[in-house]
Amino acid sequence: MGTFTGVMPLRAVAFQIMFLLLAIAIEGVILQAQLRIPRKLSMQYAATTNLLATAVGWMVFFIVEPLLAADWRKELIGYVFFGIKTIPVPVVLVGFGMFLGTFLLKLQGAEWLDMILEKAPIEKKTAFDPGKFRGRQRVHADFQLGPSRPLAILWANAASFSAISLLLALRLFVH
Amino acid sequence: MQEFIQDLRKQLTPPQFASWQTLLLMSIFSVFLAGLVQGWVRDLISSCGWIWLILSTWWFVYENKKTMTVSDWFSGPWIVGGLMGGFLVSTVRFVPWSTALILWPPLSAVIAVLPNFIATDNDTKTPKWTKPALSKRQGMLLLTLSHLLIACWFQFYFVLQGWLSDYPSLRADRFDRSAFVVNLGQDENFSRGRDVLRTAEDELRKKFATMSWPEVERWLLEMNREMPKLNTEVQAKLDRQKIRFAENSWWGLKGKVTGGEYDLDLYAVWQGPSSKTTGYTITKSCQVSPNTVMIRTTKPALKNGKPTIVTESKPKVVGKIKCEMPSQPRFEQPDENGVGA
Repeated sequence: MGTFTGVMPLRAVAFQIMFLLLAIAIEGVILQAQLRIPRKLSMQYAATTNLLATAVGWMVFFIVEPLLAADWRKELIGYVFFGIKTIPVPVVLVGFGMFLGTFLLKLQGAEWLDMILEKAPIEKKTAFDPGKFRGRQRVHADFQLGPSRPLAILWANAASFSAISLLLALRLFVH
Repeated sequence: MQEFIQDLRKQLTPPQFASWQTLLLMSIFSVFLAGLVQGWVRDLISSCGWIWLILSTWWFVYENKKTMTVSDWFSGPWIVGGLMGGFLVSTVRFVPWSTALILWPPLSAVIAVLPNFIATDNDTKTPKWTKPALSKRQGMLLLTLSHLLIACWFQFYFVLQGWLSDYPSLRADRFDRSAFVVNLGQDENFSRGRDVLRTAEDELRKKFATMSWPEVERWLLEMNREMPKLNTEVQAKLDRQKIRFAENSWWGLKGKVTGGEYDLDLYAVWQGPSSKTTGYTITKSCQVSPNTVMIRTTKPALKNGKPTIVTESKPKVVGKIKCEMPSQPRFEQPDENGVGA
């Protein structure tokens, strides 16, 4: 420690800002369509959960990095400083892990956001009136049509991950 | 000038006792006072000075919130947070400035959202804690999270610096293909390959000076066997340097006799991560030649019946090595066709 060089993570910052904006835009649109909520609300969900996921992701990186074995660190340093020339298996696995991790985090983040904003959950069950006979068909239909937030978040996450992966792959081929 | 001083004086004269000017004057007064004393008293008084300065600035930025706001972004919390960082680094000495820099964005975020937690009690006219208004909460959340993200970027910068101090030779390479970093000061002289070659040269010089010329010639003929041994010796020597670099094991040493009587090339080969899959090589060209030295030996002898020690000098032919300056890094493996290791 103690040396301070002109090696700056400026590209990381630029890419991160770009990907965050992209992910928020895509996820906002998908959440709006799936959950039938106002655009502003869906953008708020997307922005908050994505920022949360990014910050937590960095924390995980800072915790894991010092624990890496020498060989793995060598690989990691190679990726960070010199980019990748092919798509190695560990990178795919880490990407998949990130997808699952961010999905769970966004799911939980949406819950926390509801709590902080003191919002009732969107899937509010309307009081079921047992006195009225609705028939089996109707109950069944209700159950299926109600917008499921976990599913919407999964779709949104998949879409934004696909878009970012596509851009990264394009960069790999163009470069 | 006169006008400026008048203006400054008017600005700095406290309009009332409870104002930022009062705190600033207290801070300046503390600085003077701290200059007069030594030791822990000085630390105490300068800490007070810092705290007055922070509080005064805090007050000032909120009193002038409009002028401090550049297109919706209020710079005040960053200024106050920066001063807090300065206070931590200069007075609380165990906080390194990297930590203070990483703390800067989160501190600023806390300062920025703090007013939302404070309300005025209508009966007593004193501040009290309150839950932030519902309409403010979303903005506060985004502000805090984005500032945390900025802190992560700062932290990442320091992770990079840690890597570069463990593996300094990385800086000699080009980072053009990186998706993460730019190098604002690429310099091939950062490569420690020169260190490796110098150590190897020193080892060889010592070795050849004790070997007879035929032994030296045999060594050069059997370089395939001898180079790995030399490599181990050089590694051990590098590991005993004042700073033990983690990258030492990423350096390989190779050698080749390129011409008769004897031109010797030494190669330091970088086997760590590199912009080219083969890594890069630094070459040092050397000449090995015979050298006649006088060897002095002392042995006990009998002189006129008395035991004494006699010194004898006799010539001995040993090896001598002379090397040129090392080359620039070259992105290719050394040619292995000759006598190499």
